[in-house]
Amino acid sequence: MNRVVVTDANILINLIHIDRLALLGQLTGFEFVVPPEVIQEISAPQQAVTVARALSQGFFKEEALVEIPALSLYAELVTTLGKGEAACLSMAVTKGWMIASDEGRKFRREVLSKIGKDRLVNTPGLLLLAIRLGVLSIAEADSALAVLASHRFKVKFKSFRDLLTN
Amino acid sequence: MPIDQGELARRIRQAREACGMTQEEVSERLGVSRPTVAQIELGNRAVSSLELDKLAYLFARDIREFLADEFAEDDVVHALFRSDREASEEGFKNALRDCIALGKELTNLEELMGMDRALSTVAAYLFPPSKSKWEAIQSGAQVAREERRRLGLGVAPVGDLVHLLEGQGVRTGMVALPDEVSGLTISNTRVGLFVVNNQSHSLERQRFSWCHEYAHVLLDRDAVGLISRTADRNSLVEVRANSFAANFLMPDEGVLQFLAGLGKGAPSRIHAEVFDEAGVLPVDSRTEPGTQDIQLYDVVQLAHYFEVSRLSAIYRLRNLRLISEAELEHLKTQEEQGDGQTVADLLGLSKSDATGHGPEFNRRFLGLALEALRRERITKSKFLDLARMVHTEATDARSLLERSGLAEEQADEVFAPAM
Repeated sequence: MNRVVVTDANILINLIHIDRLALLGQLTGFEFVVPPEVIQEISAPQQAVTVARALSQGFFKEEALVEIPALSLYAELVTTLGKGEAACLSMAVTKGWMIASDEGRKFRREVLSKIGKDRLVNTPGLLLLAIRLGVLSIAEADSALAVLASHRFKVKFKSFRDLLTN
Repeated sequence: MPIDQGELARRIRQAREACGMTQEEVSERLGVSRPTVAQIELGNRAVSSLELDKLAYLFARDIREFLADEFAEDDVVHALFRSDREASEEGFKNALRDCIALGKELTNLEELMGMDRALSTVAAYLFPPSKSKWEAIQSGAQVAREERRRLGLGVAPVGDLVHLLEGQGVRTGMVALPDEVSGLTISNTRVGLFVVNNQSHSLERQRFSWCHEYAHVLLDRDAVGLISRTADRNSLVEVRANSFAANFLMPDEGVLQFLAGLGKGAPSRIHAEVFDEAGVLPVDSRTEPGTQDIQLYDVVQLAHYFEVSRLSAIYRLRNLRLISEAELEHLKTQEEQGDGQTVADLLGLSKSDATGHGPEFNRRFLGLALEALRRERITKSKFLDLARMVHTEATDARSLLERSGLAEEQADEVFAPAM
């Protein structure tokens, strides 16, 4: 049975930067879901087109938050989190899903306190998973990191090789 | 106990009715068909978080209200949507919605930052409702004097009114209101004490409006929601607020002192009696005829000094009996002909037609949001949502984050799912 990962906007944007949005449809054993709030947050026109195309290609699916317990949690969370973040975390908590997000600080704390680190995944984690599943080579993943660094997204390791040997 | 789908549906219908909106209007704003709205209200169709957010905005509610244990079916703020004549205009309703949404977010930010802005900390004057216009004028003037004294303002010009109001625990906002509406005051626990000005009006008119709305805060707190429009200027509540504004902006003594500096304002005849132990010596003096007549250039300087409109300065001079009815009409005619502006330009005092202070509100709102982000009370994404509410472009908001050192993203840890 696939594990469902509800995905925040920063993950989608980072994958667009490295031209790897299709990865979300290639990671065997995982299914990616995006709430409409997140899709609305992709405001740059070209990125919005890319996301719409990826959606139509089935790399991930859009799913709205409608259950009352999830709505109640969303209503509380949205006082301090962005709408997309609040929707993602509410879904992850109430449906037992994983969450994909690169946000640190306050959002990370909320995620860790509500669902724990085992259900959190970020862009480097997705790239690492893609390497392990044979979807991406280490060199490809490393060059993706270089692109991300030019978009102000930096990691503390030099190469994915370091992570795989540990 | 958590609510169920049926209860949520009932609350949505009641909130819509409280605002006097039809299902048709809601369907247009939500981008769904009218039957879909009907199905939502019957509990036959689930409502998404995105839709509930939009409904909360449309009905001027906090989204949490729909899901809380208790639901206030109606309150005075919502009555504003139904009762006011401008409420039939969509532009006005949207402005009101924006005000309430901003008020709620400000309240939330202040709570997150531990700022105590409870309604009870704001000054209030207990005056019975005025029975006549004369009484309204007198009580407005009296409260203006008292408030000036309480704030230690003396007789000098007030200065920055937004800072003054904010310092007194009153939230201030600036939105585009219909031209005939100068401002509004909202007071409830969710929105706080919130005074809103019309961003399309001139700076001087806005200053008058700040004071006018401040009068409602000090004197009419129980009214909860008040809209100040030109057409209501004869109502006693509005007369009292206007009297407060004129006296607060241009205190009697301050006007007289300023005019004295121009060699004006002295009475035509002065009588005094000097007493010594032997008796009383009467002294009479008359000013030279015509020397005390107030001219347009005096009005221009007076208005500039107190940062009010020239028209409001003219009326203040009349109220203080420093000009006659005929002089009032003459000065008004000159002002209407554009002479006042020309004189102001020539005297180098011509900032009067500038509009604005919208950016001032945005600056404070965004400043508070940035601080909340720095203290990790909110996330970056929430900050961007808040920036959008005050119409800050996403690129500008991101650039603000970068310049404030709050944009850097670093994956300090790798979170990868177990295989």
